[in-house]
Amino acid sequence: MAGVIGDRVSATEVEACITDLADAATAFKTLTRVAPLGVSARMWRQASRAVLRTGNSSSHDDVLATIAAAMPPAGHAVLSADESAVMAPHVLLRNFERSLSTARALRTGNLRARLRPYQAHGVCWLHDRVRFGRGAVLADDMGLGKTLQVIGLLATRQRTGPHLVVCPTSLLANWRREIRRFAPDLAVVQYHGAERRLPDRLAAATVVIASYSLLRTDEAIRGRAWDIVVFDEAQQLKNPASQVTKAASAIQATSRIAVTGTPVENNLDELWSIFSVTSPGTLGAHSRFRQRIVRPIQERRSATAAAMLVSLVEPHMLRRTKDQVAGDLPPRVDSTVVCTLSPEQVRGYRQAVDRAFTAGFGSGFGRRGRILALLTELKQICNYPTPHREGEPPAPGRSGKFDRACEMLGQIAQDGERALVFTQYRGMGELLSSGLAAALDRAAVPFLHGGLTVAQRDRLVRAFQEDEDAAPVLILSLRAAGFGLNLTRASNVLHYDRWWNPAVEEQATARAHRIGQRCTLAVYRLITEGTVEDHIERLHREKHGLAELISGDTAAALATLPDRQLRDVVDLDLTRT
Amino acid sequence: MPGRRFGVTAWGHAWLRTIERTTGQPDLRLPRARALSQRHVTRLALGAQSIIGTIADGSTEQVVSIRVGAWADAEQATAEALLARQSDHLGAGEVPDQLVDEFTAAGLCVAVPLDDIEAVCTCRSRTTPCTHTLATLYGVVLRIDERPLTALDLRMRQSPARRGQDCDWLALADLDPSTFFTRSVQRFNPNTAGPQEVSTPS
Repeated sequence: MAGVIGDRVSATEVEACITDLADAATAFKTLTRVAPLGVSARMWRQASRAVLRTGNSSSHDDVLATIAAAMPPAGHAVLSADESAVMAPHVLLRNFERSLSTARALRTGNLRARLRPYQAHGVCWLHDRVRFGRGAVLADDMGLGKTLQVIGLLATRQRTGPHLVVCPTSLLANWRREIRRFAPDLAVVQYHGAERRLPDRLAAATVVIASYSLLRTDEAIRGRAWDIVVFDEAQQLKNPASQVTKAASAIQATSRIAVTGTPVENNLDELWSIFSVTSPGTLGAHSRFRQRIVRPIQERRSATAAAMLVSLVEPHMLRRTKDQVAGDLPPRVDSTVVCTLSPEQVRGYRQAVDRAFTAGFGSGFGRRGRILALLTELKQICNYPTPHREGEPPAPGRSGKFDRACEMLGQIAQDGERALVFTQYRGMGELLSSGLAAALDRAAVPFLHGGLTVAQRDRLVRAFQEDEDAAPVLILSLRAAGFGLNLTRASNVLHYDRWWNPAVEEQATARAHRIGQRCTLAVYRLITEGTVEDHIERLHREKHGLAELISGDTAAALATLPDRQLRDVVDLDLTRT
Repeated sequence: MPGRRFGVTAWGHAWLRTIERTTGQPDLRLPRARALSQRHVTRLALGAQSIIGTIADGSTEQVVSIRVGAWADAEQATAEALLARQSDHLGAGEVPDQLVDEFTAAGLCVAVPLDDIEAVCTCRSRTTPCTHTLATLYGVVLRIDERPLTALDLRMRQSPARRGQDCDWLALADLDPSTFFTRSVQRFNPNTAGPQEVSTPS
C-alpha cells in the first residue's frame, strides 16, 4: 500500500486483515455509525451499499463515478507492480463492482465448488481479461487449483462458447472429470482417439478437450471459431518456432488462456513464446525483446530491464505462490489425479482380465489367492506395462501414470520443494528411482525399501531432511515407511498406487504431515482411469455399494465377491465418466 | 548484429554515434570507457536534459554531470506530432525503431553531438571529454537500449511517458501528503476510463 512517510507519499507496509470481498462489502454496508469513520471508509460504505443494492451493473455507474471523484488517495492506495503509482479510484471501484458480481455468479451460478478467496480473485481476474477479448497467463504454483479457476471462468461465462481446452494426453481424463464434477451444466466432449468426431454445430456451453498433437493436425479444431481456448501445461508452447506454438497462435478465439505452473523453465524466451500465443505484441518483436530485456538481464543483471519486464508482464499474468496464499490454505490439500492408460497398458490390462476369467478362480482358499494375484497384476499394469525386464530404463509414452508423475515431480523440484513418493511395489520403486533420476537430471533418486539396513535408511532420511544437495524426491515402499520416520521437509506426498486400505495410506501420509510441518501439505493420489483403481476410488467416494470396501481391507473383501460382481469391478471401462 | 553490446536499438545507436564517430582518428580511450561503463558505473540518474553518472574505479569515485540541450520549441512540436501517432507503443519505455528515421527525416537529432555536450567531471583530467564522461555516455547508450523512451526524456521538456500513461494509475510523486486522507485527486477524468467491452456493447 501507499502511505504518508514524513512529508511525502511512498510505498509502505500496512497491517491489513484480508477477508472475502463479499463479506467485507456486506460489513461495510451494514455499518450504521458513520461519524467516527474517515472519509475513505465512508466512501467505501457508500460504494458497498450501491453495488449490493441492485444486481444491474449499468445502474450504479453514475453513483460509482461520483464516489470515485470524492475518494481521497488513502481509499485507493493500491500500489502498482513497480510501487511507483497507486490505482485510480474509478478503476479500483470498477474492479470492486466486477469482483462482487463475479463472486455472486460463482455462488449462485453453475459452479459446484466453494472457492478459496484467492481462487475467486483468479476467476474475477480471468473474467476481466476475457471481457475485453484479451489473453491471459494463469501461472499459480502447482496445487493451488488452476484447473478449478479456469472451470470457474467457463462455468460463469455469459457467452455460450464453444470453448476448447488443449492439454497433454495424460491430462485429458482429468479435465473431463473436473468439469463434470464442478460444472455439470457444461457439456464436455473429449475429442481424442481414432474414432473422434466433432459435430459441425456444437451446443451452447460446450467444452471440447483435445490434446496438443491434435491441435497441430486436426482440421475440425483448427477451422472453427472458439470463445475461450485454454492451453494447459503451456510449457508445451515454450518454443516459438515449433509447429504446436504456431498452431496455437493461429487458432481462432475470443481469448486464449495459458495455464502453467512454470512460465519460465529455462530462459525468458519461453515466456515470450507463451505470450506470443496469449497476448501477441505485448512483449514486442522477439528480436527486440531479446535486445532490450533478455540480454541486459542475462549479461549484466540489469535492474532497469527487469523492472520493465515486470511492468510489461504484470497486467497479463497472474502468479501466486504457495507462500503468498498460505493464509488461505488449509494445512493439507488432497487431490486425485486421473491418468490415462497408454495403448500398451490397455492391451495388457484386457489380456490379464480375460486370461484370469477364462482360467477361472475356482473356490475355497485357492480362489482367494488367485483373485489377489489378479488384483496385484492389474495394479502393476496400471503403474507400468508388465512384464518389465530388470535393468531396462523406463521409456516415456509407455505408462500414462509414470509420465504424469514425472511431470508433476519435475515441477515440484523446479519450485524448490520436496516430495515423498509412495509405492507398494519394490520393482516400481526401482523403476521410479531410475526414471526420475533421468527426468530430474540427478545422479540418483533414493529409494527407501525394506531391503535396506537400518543404518542405510537413517542415512537416506537424514539426507532428505537436512542435506541441501540431496535429491528433492524420496521414494518409499509401504512396509519400510511403517516405522517412525519423520520426513517433514516434504511439502508434497504422491501416492503412486492405491493402498486398498485407506487407513494405511493415511499412515504413510502422516510421515510428512506431522506437527512441525509449517507449510501446506499437498497430497496427490494417482489413479488410472477406467481401471480397478478407478472403480475402487469411486466406491470410496460415493460411500455406497459394497459396505465392506469402505471400512476395511478392500482386497480381502473383493476376494469374497462372486465372479460377475468381481468382473464389474476389474473390467476396463473407458466409457464411463 | 550478433555479439554487439552497445547501441542494439536505433535509439541507443544514435547516441553511440556521438561517442564513436565513424570519421577521423579513432579515440584510444574508448575501450577503457566501455569497460568502465559495464562494470564501474555505480549510479546513473537520467532526467529531463540531465545525466548524472557515478564511476567507482578502484579507490576513487568520480561524479560526472552532463547537461543535454532540449529541442527547440518548433522541434518539440514536431516530436509531439510524430509521437502522437505512436501512443500505442509507449508502454514500458518502448518506442519503435523506425521512429528514429522519421525523426531524422523531420530534421530532429535524437542524440546531441559530443561537442555540444556540457559535461563536468570531478576528475583532474584536462582532456574533454574525459574518460569518465565517455563511460557515462556508454552507460546512457545501454540504458536507452533497454528503455528507448529515455532518449526522448532527455530531449523533450515534458516526458512522453507521463503524457502517454493511462489514467488508470496515479504516480506517487503527484500525491499530496497533506490531503492524502481527506481530499480526492481531481486530476483524473473518469470518462476516458477503460477500453470498451467486445462482447456486449453497453
